[in-house]
Amino acid sequence: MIDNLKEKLKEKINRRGFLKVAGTGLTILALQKMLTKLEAKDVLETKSITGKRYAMLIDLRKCIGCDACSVACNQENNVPIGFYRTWVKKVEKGEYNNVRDYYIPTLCNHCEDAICNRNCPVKATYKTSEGLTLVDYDRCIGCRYCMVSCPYNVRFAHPYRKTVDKCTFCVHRLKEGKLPACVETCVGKARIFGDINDKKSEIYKAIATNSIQVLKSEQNTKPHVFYISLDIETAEAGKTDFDYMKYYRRDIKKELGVNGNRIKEQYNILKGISEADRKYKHQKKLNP
Amino acid sequence: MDNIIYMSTHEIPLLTKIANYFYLTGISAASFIISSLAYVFGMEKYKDCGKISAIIAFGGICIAPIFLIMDLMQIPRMFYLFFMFNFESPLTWGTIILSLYILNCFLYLYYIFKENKKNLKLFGIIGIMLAISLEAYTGFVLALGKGIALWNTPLMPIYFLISAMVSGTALLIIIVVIKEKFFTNFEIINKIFPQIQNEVIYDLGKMLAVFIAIDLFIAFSDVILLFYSTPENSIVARVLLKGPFNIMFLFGEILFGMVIPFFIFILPKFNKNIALLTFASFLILIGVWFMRYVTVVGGQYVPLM
Repeated sequence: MIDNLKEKLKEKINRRGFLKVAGTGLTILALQKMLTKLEAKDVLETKSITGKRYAMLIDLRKCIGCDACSVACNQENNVPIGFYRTWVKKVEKGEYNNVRDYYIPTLCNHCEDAICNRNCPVKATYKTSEGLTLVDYDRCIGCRYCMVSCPYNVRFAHPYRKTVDKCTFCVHRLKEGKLPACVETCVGKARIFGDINDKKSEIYKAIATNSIQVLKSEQNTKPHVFYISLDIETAEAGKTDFDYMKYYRRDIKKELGVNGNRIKEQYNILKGISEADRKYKHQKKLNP
Repeated sequence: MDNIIYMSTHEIPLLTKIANYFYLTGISAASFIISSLAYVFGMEKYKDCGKISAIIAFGGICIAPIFLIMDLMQIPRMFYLFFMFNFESPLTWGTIILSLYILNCFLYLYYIFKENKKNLKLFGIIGIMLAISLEAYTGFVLALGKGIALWNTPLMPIYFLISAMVSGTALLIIIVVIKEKFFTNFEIINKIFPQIQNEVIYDLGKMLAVFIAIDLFIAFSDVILLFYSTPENSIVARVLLKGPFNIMFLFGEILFGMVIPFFIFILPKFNKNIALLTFASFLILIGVWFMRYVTVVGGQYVPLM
């Protein structure tokens, strides 16, 4: 009986049939592997619940508009030239004798109810258990729908990695127990970073004892970058000025076409330096 | 007056390719709905042009996703859309609707040429629902882009649906006229596509006039609401009416795309003149493209921070 069956099977599974079966089997295996690889990150993130909620408080009374945060961020994260993960919006108010400059350092707000997270079709943007909104660069398909969804305009299309990029609160530094680069470098100590669930932290105390504002609260995204003494006029400035809008329209392709090769070269050099630096540090850690 | 020293650099992520995609899906969905008038609702009058519009529907939806895919920064990763679903995202709804719609369009076209009435009706009914949701989803994609004031309105899906109907009917009129004018001598074509009477074109024109009227009404409500609500909305209204998009919006979309064709289609003096009707349909096609372009690019024009 069994021998009969085996013979029948042998007849059925000729070479072409075998190739067909093997081919489909292999593709299914490959797909499964890809899927598990893609899912792994989610599982890790959801499991490591630490009860932390990272947030940033920017005390604008102490901000002097020196752009050190932008520079530090671009160095730390190797952001291509011409793009910023954090920048300082600067507005001059008043006339001679009564003039003051106002600054708003702006970065990803790591919203509790992030619209970019909702709108991403492949879940490349995800929320970690610590409240960070991150982009999985291996998963992002570059549809740029998150860029137009974000009410804060903090996302940009990384011209060389070909994905969307934005502030990560320096998650690689947080894992080492360090502060984000912009916080560490801030000259006036305007930026305070920490866990707002920890009642002994500096940020918790600062938020509890000051009047705080957020940008665009009407968007209902529950942003987690807070400001002290935020000027509404500064935040709103620049939206109504058509001439200004023309000036700041960017044609990225054109820009890169002219300086593209130079910028790319610099980007690669910087990438090389940062990688060499990382390797050096790692070796130093191993053999102090 | 505030003097801005530095503000965020601003780029416009979604450009002409996305506008083209919305335009072509609109034409395809509308053509499908017109085609179903004959094969689902049993209007025998439209049977012959229903065949043509079914072909337009299938052709349009085959070309449309190419624009979408070419716009991705990571083109090889487009397959992730079929494995990694995020049901909160309108793009995922779109992936599902679009793939089902292409399949359905193909089957529908197949049964038209097989003349299998029972299956035709089944796939016609499913197809109407898919076509409406296809067009509505493109509206939702924009409406759920929360930060952008021009998009974030419940009118957007309806606006997209109705302007799609306008463009689909206009394209059908043009193709029917071209076919009757230049391809009457070919026997093969005459065998597959029987001659279409001018009365059918006039009726399509009347239908088109109704669609344009609704479209004008929705465009009007949209702009009125922009003027009377939040500061962001009033800035957008100014971009449309005074800013760099005013010629496209006022002349391209409203005057030449809707008002002039509307009068050509309703005035008894003009609406029996085939050449004029074709010209009006041509204007409408351009006008609807401007509508897509102004909505997609004009919305992103206002800096957010």
